[in-house]
Amino acid sequence: MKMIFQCKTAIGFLSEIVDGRASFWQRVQFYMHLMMCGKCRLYFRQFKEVKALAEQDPFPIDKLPDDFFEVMEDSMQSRKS
Amino acid sequence: MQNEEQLLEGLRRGDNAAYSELLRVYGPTLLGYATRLIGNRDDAEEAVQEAIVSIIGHINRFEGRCSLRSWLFRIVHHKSVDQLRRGARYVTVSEDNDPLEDKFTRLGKWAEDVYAWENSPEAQVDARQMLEIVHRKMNDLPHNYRQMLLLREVYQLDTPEICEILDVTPVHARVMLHRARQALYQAVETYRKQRGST
Repeated sequence: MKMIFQCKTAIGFLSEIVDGRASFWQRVQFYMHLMMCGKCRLYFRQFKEVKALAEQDPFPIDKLPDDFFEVMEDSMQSRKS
Repeated sequence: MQNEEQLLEGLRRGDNAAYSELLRVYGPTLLGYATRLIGNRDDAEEAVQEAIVSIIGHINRFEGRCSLRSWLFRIVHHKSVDQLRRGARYVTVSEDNDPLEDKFTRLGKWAEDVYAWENSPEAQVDARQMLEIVHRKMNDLPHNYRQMLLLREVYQLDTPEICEILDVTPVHARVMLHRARQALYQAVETYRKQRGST
């Protein structure tokens, strides 16, 4: 088994790891590198924090504005006529 | 709520109830995406309105090779990009650009310590602030990174859907997503560093 010793290589795997696309051996190599490397461990932890926050929309739009429908109806009417 | 097939059938018949249902179900998400991508609510509403008119006009061209959601996102995405290009506001970064390029030595080791914002008392922010920082930084990224993060992280679309929306290959989508995530991390790190040093 080829070990990953380069931090750059390990960090290059991050997206594959968090998306669950890394193979079994890639995951083994990645986590073995993390066991030995505090910098990559820290980066991974903070990366996951940023990713988790990116998944939350702080200002979601629950419904369309009321006049949106009026404008749509006008556009649709003009297309029909 | 009708299923996708019933909704499509209604749309193809020109049924008004189906249009209302389409707007009720998908409208807020599509407007949310356009608003985040364009960065301006009025322009986003215009882009989504243009997209919906186009969708209604071309509903018979929808062959069902992708999901209705992907198709809607695709049209709204292209209308939003058109809107941005009209004002010369569509900003992209070169696809060869690697946000982490200067972070490593020639031997592939970290060139500097990784900044630990979790251990810096000056850099501390509460959870709500951190959420807003991440999204503000996402909104500041070049559009080709921002669109990737919005589709994947915020709207949770999978790679085949993203490829359909952006007209890219799966490999390209994965590379761009990785770079976009790293660019977002770097932007948040820079902000936290600056906050920690003041």
